[in-house]
Amino acid sequence: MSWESVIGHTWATQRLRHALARGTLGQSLLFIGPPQVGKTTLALTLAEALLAQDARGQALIAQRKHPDLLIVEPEGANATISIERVRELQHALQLTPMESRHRVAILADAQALSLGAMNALLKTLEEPASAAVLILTATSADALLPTILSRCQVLPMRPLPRGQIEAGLQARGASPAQAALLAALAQGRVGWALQAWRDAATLQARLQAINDLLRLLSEGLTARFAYAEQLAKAGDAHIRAVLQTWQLVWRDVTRAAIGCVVQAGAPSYGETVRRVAEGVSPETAAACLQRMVQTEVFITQNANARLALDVLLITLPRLSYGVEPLSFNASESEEHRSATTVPAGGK
Amino acid sequence: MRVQCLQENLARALSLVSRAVAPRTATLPVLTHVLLATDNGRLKVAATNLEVGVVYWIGAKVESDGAITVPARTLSELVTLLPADKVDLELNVRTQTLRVQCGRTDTTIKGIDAQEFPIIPSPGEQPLARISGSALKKLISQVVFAAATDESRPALTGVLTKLDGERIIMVATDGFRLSKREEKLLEAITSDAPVTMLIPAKALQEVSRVIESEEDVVFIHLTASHGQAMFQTPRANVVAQLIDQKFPPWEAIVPQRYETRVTINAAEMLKACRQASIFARESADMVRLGIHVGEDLEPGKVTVSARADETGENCSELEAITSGKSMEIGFNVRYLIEGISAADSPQVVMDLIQPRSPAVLRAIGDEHYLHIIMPMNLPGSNPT
Repeated sequence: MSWESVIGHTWATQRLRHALARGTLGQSLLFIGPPQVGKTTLALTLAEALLAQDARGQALIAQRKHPDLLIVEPEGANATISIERVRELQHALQLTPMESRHRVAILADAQALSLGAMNALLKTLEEPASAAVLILTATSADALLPTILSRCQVLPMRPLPRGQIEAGLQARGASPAQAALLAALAQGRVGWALQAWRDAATLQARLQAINDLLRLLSEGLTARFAYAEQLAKAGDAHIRAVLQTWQLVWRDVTRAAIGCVVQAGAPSYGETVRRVAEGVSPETAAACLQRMVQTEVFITQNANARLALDVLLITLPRLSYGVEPLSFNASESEEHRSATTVPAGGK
Repeated sequence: MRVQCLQENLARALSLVSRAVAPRTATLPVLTHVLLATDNGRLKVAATNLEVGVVYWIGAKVESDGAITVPARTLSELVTLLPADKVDLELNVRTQTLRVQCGRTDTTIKGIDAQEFPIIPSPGEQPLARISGSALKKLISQVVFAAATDESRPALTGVLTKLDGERIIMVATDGFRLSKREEKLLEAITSDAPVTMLIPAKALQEVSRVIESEEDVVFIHLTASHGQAMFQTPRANVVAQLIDQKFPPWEAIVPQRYETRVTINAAEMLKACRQASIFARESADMVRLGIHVGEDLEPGKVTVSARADETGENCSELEAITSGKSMEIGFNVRYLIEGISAADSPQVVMDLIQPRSPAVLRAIGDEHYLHIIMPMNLPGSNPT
C-alpha cells in the first residue's frame, strides 16, 4: 500500500508526502470527497507511512490490525458513531504508542458522528497528544460542525478522470476492455471501479440501470409507469443509485449532443451515448440531467417516490428508434486477461 | 512448538496476566488472546490491552520452539480445571491450533498467528533504577487509589512518578484529594537528569500484583522511545504505556502552614468514620469533624458526626492531642477512610488551616507519606 499504488489523487498524495518529509503534517486531518473516491485508502496509506517499520507492520496495517492504528466506522442500525466510541478512542490516543512513533486514528465517515460525539471530539482535535494523528473522512463539509472543520487540515478529494481509473485498473491486471468499461461507469470513484471489477453483481446492477433507461427511451407511458411502480418499491437507496447512474448517462449524452467527444474509452458505452445523443437536442439532454438531479434531491427529502418517478419518466424524451442495450462481453476481455487476475465481471 | 510445564505454574501465569487481557469488545481480536511463546528454555505467557502489557515466564521443558496466541478466557478456564499434573502444549502451525494434553484430557484450541500480537518490548541492558519489592508495593498501595477513575481529565488517571538521584516519588490526585509517597531507591538512577513519567494507575496495580515476594528486587526501565515504562521482577515484566499529558503542578497545593493540629488514633478514627458513613450516604457522603482544643490541661477531643433526614444521625467522640484553635470542618467520609487506611500507621496527624482549606494527613513515624483532602462545604456555613 505504498504512495505509488494509490490510484490518482496525485495532488493529495504529493501534499501529504511533502508535509511528512518536511515535518509539517498536521495532527488533525480531514479528507473530504464523494463515497468510494479513495479517502480511506489514502488515510491507510498515510497511516502506513507513519507507522509501519517493516513488512510485518505493513501487513498488519493492510489487515487493519496494527496496534497503533485505531479505526472507527459507523455501526449499528442507524450507521452512527456514538460518543462512547469517541471516548474509547480518546482514552487510547492519550497513551504513548505501542510499537511506532505515532498513534493514528481513522474516523471513517465522520458525518455519521452524533452531535454529542462531534462536540466530544473537539478538544482532541484541537490539542491532540503529541504522538496522535487523527484522520477524519467525510462525504461533505456541510455535514460536519464548523468547529470541526476549523480544527482540521482539510484535503478535498475530487472524482478521478476516467483515464486515471482506467490506467489504475490495468496496472492491477484488468484487461483493457474491462478497465475502459469500468472507468466509464465509475463516476470518478475508483473504489466503485475496483469493487465492480472483483464483484460482477456490482457492475451488473449499474449496467441494468443503464439498459432500463435505454429501453424506456423508446417505450410509451404504459411501460414507463410500470417501471416507476416497480422501482418505487425497491427502497430509497436503490432509487438513488439508479438516478445517479442515469445522471452519469445524461451528462455524457449532453456533452455528445453539443459535439464534445465523450472521453469514455469503452467503445460500447461511447457508442450508446452517441446513439442517444443523435435523437435529442442539447437543451433536452441538459434539462433531462437537471430533472434527474432534482428528483434525487426530492427522494432524499422524503418525497413520494412513486410520484416523483412518474413525473420524471413522463418528461423523459421519446426516441423513434431503439438503442442496443449495453452488455459486457466476458469473452471480449478473455484474451487480454492475465492468468493471475481476479475473474472478470461477466453476464 | 512443543512444551511441557506444570499445571499450577501455567494456571498462575494465566491468572497474573489475565487483567491485561482486553475485554471481548476490543477492536483487535488478538488482544483478547494470550501469547504463549518459548523463550530461552522457558515458556513466556503474555497479554496486553495496549495500555498495560504483562509478561510472565515459567519453567518448562522445551522440545521445540514456537509461538501462538489463544483466547485467554478459554485457556485459563480450561487450565484451572485440569489436574495438578504435567501439561503438554503442542502447536500445529498449519492450522494455528494449540493442543493441550494433561492426564487423560486432550484439548485443541483455535488460535491466531503470534505475528499479529503487539510487540511487548524487552528490557534493555541497563535499568534506570532498582528498588526493593516491598518499597515499591508500599508506594503503589499508598498512592494509586487517589488517581481519578473517570476519563474527563486524562492526566489525572495517571500516577506521576519521578526518579531523582536516589529517590522515587509517586503522586496521584483526582482533584478532590492527593496522595504522595517517597521512597529510597537501592542506588542512584543511571540517568544524569531526573526522570518524570505519567504511568496509568491501572498499570501500577498490575505491577503490585506481580511482585511475588517482598525480597524481590524490581528493575525499572524506560524504553528508548521514552514511551513505555517497564517494571521487571525475577519472573515477570510489566510494560506500561505512558500518558502523553501534563500533570498539574501539585506542589502548589500542599499547604505550608497550619492553624490546628490533631493527632489521633487511626483505628478509632476509622471506626468512627465507618459508623458515620452509614448516615452520610444520603448527604453526598459528608461527615462533620468537630475539633475541640482543650483549655489548659484539659485533653482535646474530636467528634465525627453525620446525619440523614430519613435515617437518623450518629456522632462519635474521640480523644485526641490537639493544638491551635477549635473548628468544624466537613469531609467526604470515603476520602477520609481511604486516606487514613493508606497511612498504615497506629497514629495519624491532621493539619488544618480553616474550614475551606485543604487538610493534610500524615502518618506518625513515617514522614514519606503525605495525603491532602479537600473539605466539603458544611451546610449552614456562609455560602460565599
